[in-house]
Amino acid sequence: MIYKRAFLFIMLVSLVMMVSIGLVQAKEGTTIRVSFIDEPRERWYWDHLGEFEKLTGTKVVIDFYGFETLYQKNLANCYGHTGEYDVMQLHYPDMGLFDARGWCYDFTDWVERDKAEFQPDDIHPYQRESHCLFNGRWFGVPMHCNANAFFIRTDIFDKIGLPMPTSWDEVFKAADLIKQQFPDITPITTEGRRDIQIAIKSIGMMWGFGSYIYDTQTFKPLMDTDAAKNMFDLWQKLAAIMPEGAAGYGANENFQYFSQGKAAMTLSWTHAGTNFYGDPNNSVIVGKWKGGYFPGGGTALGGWSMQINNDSKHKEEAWEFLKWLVSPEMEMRLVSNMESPRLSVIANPEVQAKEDHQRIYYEVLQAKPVMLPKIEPTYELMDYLSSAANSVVSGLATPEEAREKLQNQYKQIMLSYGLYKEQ
Amino acid sequence: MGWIMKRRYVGYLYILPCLIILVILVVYPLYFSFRISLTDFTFGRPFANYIGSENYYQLFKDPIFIQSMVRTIFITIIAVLVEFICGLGSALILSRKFRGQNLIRTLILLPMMISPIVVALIWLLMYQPDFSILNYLIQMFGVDPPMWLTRPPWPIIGVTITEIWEWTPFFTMVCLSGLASLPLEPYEAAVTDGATGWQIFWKITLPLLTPLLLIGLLIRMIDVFRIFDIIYIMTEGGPGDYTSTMSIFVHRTGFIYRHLGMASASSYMMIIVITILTLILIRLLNRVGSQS
Repeated sequence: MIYKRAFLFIMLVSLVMMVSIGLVQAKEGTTIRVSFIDEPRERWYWDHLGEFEKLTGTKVVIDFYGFETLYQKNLANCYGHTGEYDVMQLHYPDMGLFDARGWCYDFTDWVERDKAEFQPDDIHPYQRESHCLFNGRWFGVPMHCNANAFFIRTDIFDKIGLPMPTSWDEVFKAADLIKQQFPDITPITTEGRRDIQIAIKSIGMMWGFGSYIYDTQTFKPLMDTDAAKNMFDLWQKLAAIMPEGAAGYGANENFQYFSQGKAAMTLSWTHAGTNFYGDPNNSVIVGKWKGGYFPGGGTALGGWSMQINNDSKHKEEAWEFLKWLVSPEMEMRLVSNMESPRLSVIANPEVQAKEDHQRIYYEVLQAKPVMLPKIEPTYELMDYLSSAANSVVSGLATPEEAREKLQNQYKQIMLSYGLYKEQ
Repeated sequence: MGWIMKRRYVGYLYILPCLIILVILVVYPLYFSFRISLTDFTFGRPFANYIGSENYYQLFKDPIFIQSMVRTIFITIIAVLVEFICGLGSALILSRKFRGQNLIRTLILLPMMISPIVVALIWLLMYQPDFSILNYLIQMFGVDPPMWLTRPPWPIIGVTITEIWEWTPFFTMVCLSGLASLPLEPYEAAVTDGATGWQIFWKITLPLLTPLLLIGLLIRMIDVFRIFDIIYIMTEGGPGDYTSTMSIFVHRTGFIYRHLGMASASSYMMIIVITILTLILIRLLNRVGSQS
């Protein structure tokens, strides 16, 4: 009998607690959930969510993930229509899957409605094209923007008497002089590891040689072109003047190597200048570097697009959050923390004078960098490209072998997705 | 209710909760993934078509998969053999009484207690050509250090050394517990008969330890066959696909390319290969068991 009473008592208390929690939550107002990449800029927002809550009454819960896990989480969220996240941070090439499948909300009408507040024309036109629009409709707002960039050591280049290289020939000419005059300095460093970094750089290089990785109209793979041949040959030539272990370098190893003053040039990211090379706590080359466009004229664009889940029950609140994330005021506050998509920031001479990464990014955007593919098999294409380029850098394959293998792999992928029809 | 209490049924009733859990957590996922392996299911696409054994056929045509399988078997055999020899050797040394024995025993187990991700990061730094302590030590002998993770064949050797470093203590532990439980009588008799240390080891210690060692080999073989975390952190399967194992292949196919049908088929291939290897070892174990 006593057990029965105790059981009933526990059940009653549990019921009261559950009802109370429910009432408290209902009283608190709307809560939206957000999936974010785990990076400093995103952490900054997390620290300042109170401001948004005060402004709108909407509570925001953020979950942080690494690159691959974020993709998997967003994919499971959308494919399973779980509605777990109202707002999702997508690597912008993911738009080729998420937006094409109708998983994200088309907020074109809201952009028009809130034009005065959102100021879409302030977003760089090229950035709008890459990170916001899919088939001409608004699906995302750009955040955590960056692009590939080329950096040199100004002190070394002053001594060898050469300006910043603008072509690959000039890079190799400078490399010869550096080897003669600075035998302890490696001419150039970059990410040679088999991951997305080397793939992004390869796309930029090939673009500089005059071609994309596939025909954007017919989806015919273009690894049998001269541009692809030049790109793989370039990797082989670069490998000879890169650090010996560069075939295993990811982004961080590359940042560190240049920051430690061990190389005279680096192929890196626009934000690397201010965040790494200009950081006196981590760099021995503060004030001795300069960044700009990739040699050869091909630079690839990176970055993220914030999108609203089509299954979200709080789309209006999610839109308010997106506007807050990239408002002109917010972009100005975050001027030191990653590149801005807004012209009012990157084209601002005062900002450019103080924040070198914003100046470099503006120059890169003005020169129309190449976009990563926004189609369904993007990551498959990128992974095979990273394997091919890494094989050449590590000496595992000749440029010709890597290129031929990649052309066949790309053809299989494009055929299997029904994108390319063989004649 | 009387019938239910009959002896023949009540046993089933007792194991029913366990069976239900087993069906939910093991049998159904196995059935589900097998069903998927017979389709062209790609995560994110609305429909999946039944394609029979096409995925399996494609796998055998894929040189990357075949190379991954051969590489996995190679790493498994080398790693388990070296771990076994080093583990047994260190256990024989540690089983003797000496000062600081307990401290050494604890220290030797440390690598196994560290998370594989941390182990991979530690060795990733050890293999860096610019500031590696390993390369510094090699250079002290006047030898040029290899490019551990970038120039073949060193990447395979590098990841295998890391795996061996982490899991040799497992064999040490297994052998130490085995040595502690061996009966003293055969040793006393052998000493009386004038057997040498070497003879005692080959004729008494090793045969008595064999059943335990085979179980250790079995566990480690299954474990090494699934090697993923160390390679993922250290090389991501590179350079090229040079260190791609079957687990790396499955992960890449399933979670990067999203081809879950193909990934399930390759998982089943893994299960088949590992089952064959396991059956061979179990037969060996049974034979040794019946002999002893």
